[in-house]
Amino acid sequence: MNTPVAGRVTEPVPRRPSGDVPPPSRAYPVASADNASLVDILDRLLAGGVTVCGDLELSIADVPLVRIDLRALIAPAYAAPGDRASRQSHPAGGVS
Amino acid sequence: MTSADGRLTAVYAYAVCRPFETDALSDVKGVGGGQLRTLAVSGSSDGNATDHEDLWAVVETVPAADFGEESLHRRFEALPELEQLARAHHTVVQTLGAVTATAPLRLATLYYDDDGVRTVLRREAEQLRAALDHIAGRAEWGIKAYASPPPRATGRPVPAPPSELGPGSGREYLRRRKAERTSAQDARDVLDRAVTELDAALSAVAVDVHHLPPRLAAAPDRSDTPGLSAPTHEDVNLLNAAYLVADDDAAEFASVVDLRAHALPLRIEVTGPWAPYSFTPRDLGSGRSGPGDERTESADPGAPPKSRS
Repeated sequence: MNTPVAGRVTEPVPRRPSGDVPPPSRAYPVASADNASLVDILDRLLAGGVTVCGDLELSIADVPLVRIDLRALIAPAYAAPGDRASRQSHPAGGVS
Repeated sequence: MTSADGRLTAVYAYAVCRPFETDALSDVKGVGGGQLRTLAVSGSSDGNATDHEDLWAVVETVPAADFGEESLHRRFEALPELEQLARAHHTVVQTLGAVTATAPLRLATLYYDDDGVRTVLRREAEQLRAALDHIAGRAEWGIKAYASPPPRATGRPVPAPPSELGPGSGREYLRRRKAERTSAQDARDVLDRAVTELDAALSAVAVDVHHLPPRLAAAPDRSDTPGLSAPTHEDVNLLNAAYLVADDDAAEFASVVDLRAHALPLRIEVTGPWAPYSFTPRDLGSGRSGPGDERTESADPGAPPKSRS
């Protein structure tokens, strides 16, 4: 690992509590995000994260296209586009 | 850039973060199997140097041939390769997120060389710093809620109240059908209220919330008739949301989930803590709107806490 040039820690590093919060004996499963399901990961990797566009990039994969391809690949894990739009603003929309 | 053996290389950028002890990454392999490096940026967006390098990017030098546009499209379309890439990226981001304020970059963010990364860091420094301030000391928790136990919405006869009409009469049939519809609607209303209550209770503890697309349950005929097949109720994903929770409030958040998991007719799944993928700005400096825009409820990373629609 290369040490960054003249880099130094200049402020307290926020340390997250251990990943085993919450304790056992829960009424629901808690899955560590470190080994989450592929769909959960892709939910975030493809829809989240900072997109920095600049003229120096070699390539940013065409995200809209990739997401369409993915929907075909891992359907039916994803809602159809219309479903998504109509359910976005309303968390309980899935039952209506 | 060209590597020592003459092959073209590119720089894969994982995340922008605050300074951290780089030992944390010593055992982590990148998407190209190579060493992870950090690039530090000092100076403000107007080019003036400042005293400390408070913006870091974590990068890896990768073979350009494996990460060109064509290669990436091919790899993204092959699920095993996509999974390998996504998990490698995710592992780096999660490792970072556990030790410092981390703004993940979109999967497959590539530059010609280190200078390309530094240029973008400097150009977007202000927004990146604001984004890091927003997520520092906080983590993303994923909550999915499903109907449970299955509401008796369909397929179960509604007990008929005493009626002077014969069971075979047309009016009796219509009355029964109406009662069934009412019952189904009641069941949906119960679930709607439960999901709203859960979301509100979690949002009250969280700093920010972001609703992800609901999952559709697997249904064999779905590929032929998207949106038309009817998954069973217990499979319907009523809520798929990410909450940004202060680390200090993680235990309280968990107890809120616990309480509601017992009290509400919902099956709840929790994942976390995630690096705050869902709470970072989209399309920095591009001026174009992206597919994530309509899904962002907190587009402004500097928005005051607790503000949400």
